[in-house]
Amino acid sequence: MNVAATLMQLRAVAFPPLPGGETDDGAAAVADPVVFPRSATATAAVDVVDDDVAVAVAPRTYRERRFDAILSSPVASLRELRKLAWNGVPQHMRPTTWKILLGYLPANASRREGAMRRRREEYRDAVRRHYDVPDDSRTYAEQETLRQVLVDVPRTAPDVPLFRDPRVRRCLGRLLYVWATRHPASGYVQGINDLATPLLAVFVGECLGDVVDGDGMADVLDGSRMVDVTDRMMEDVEADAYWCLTSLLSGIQDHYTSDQPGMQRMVMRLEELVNRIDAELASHLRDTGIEFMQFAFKWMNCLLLREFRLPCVMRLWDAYFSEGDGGFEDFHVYVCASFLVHFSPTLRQMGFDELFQFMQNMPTDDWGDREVEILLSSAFVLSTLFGGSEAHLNVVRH
Amino acid sequence: MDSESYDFIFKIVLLGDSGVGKSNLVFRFTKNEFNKDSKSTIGVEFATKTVQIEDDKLVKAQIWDTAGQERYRSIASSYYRGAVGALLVYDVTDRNSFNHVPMWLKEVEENAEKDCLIMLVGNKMDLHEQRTVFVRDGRSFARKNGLAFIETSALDATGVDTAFQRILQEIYKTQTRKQLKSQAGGAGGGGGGKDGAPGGPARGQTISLTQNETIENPQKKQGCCGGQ
Ligand SMILES: Nc1nc2c(ncn2[C@@H]2O[C@H](COP(=O)(O)OP(=O)(O)O)[C@@H](O)[C@H]2O)c(=O)[nH]1
Ligand SMILES: [Mg+2]
Repeated sequence: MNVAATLMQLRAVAFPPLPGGETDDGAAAVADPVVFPRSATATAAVDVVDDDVAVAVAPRTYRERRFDAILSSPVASLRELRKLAWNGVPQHMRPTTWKILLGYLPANASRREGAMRRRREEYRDAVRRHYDVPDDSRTYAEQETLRQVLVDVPRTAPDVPLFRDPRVRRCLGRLLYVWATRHPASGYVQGINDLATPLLAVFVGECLGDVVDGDGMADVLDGSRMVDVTDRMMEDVEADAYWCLTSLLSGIQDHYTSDQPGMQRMVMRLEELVNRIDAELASHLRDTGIEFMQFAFKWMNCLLLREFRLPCVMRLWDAYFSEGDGGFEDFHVYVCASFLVHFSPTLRQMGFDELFQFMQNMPTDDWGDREVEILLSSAFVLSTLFGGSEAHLNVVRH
Repeated sequence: MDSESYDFIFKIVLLGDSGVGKSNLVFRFTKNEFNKDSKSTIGVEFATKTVQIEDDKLVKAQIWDTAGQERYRSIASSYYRGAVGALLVYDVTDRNSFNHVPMWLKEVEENAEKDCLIMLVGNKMDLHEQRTVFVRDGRSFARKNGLAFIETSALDATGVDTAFQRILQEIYKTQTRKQLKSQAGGAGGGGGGKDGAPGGPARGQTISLTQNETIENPQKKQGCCGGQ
């Protein structure tokens, strides 16, 4: 494979000229980055030339109609939903779309209500059995877990006012503890708390009903709409977030078990990938002596949640959930590689100390959907170039 | 760009249970900040500060901070490699964190350099009312195990500069003594002079202690980054 050509191609996608200022939704159709749809199963590059490219640049309302059509059909087509969601889910359709993609809600529309009711009841029951018990009936390990969870809850997304809301904090603490006691092989590992935040935010938004794209979510994140959320609603938010987190984590379980083999595997694959696509950067990193483990561990452990603002993470997750099981494992590595390479010119100027400090606080404060979509496109290109043909880059899932 | 100069560069690691205030001790020392709601540390965090000791020596402290959770042991080896100082932190309001000190001590002793200096730090001393670990507890443990000891508050800054300053001072003494010995043994001296070259951080080690392997030098290829 011609690596130089690959790089050219990657650069072309990764560094398009940015028009000045923020672009707003469908208004700037021309400025939209090309985002490649990805079919549920095939990884062939042919998928790139698919009618959905047109959808990506069409007005939002059309996209919304397509989502509507799928979500309200008697049996939602998962394949269609994935293709559509890969290019971004409108905010008010995100809760249902995510729940279906994560397998929490059935594709069959008539069964959704009942399924959700049962799962919510099941969760409430688990809370009664595991959480609402006297402290002296907890095992030593459970007490340690509870202590750690309670230490971490106030340290979770502290920059987002929504997560300073006492009710939201209580929900978070409870669902993390219940998850940990029911998954003793990994238990609570720091970073899992971060993973629950996009889910909680999206489902709180769902209670408010009228959350629209862009600023609508800002109202949710700044906590100002919490007065409209009843305790009863919060119970459902918590249960839904619990099940969706459970589903997400079930795909990446060995990331959090003893010694975190999944994490180590992903960091190694990232390093391998960067060696191929940006040899200059890779050799610079080696020269300075920084290890991939030292900066990429956090990227894997928190799935880039520490690197981006929440709205960007939500956009990223639209694509991850659409990828199915491989989203948080395989595709994430390509996203991390694109992310690193994106900063290559800057990184190559830096020595060890500066690199280390830069990389633990990547400058993404002004990133929005647009930048995330560029990242996704370039990750997609990488995955088609290196995913299919390179057997050793493929992960064997059990 | 890294354009400051320094005579020595010392790697210091922090350890102790999650939540005892390690990250805030680092913020306080390097930026004079306290962040009540800082995020929990994931993997390794890194900060530097250059301070003056012995009137005229500039020492750059390279501080590595990590999470206190058991699970993260997979990155431990690169974390400890080359460390010449360790702050072992507990929370004076949390007896458990003090009970875990022996475990942490064992971990440093197994992983860090042989002559790594260890200081026991009882943090959150501003919380008088909630205190459950007393000065005498910390001091007697430190004495029994040959550790330096100090109490601090990252919140009101008490003791923080002193803690870092003192350990750097001690490291300096140990390392120069060692170097004198090795020179007497014919090892020869390294190139002197201050390093101020931007983009040339690799020269951190070309200063007086070149021959001394125990001085952390992450910039050198085999320095702190041997294996995976
Ligand atoms: N009162 C008080 N609180 C502290 C002090 N140092 C840290 N904290 C608090 O303890 C919690 C954990 O601090 P952090 O630095 O994240 O601990 P780490 O997990 O050891 O890095 C935070 O809520 C801090 O605000 C201190 O000296 N005094
Ligand atoms: Mg910390």
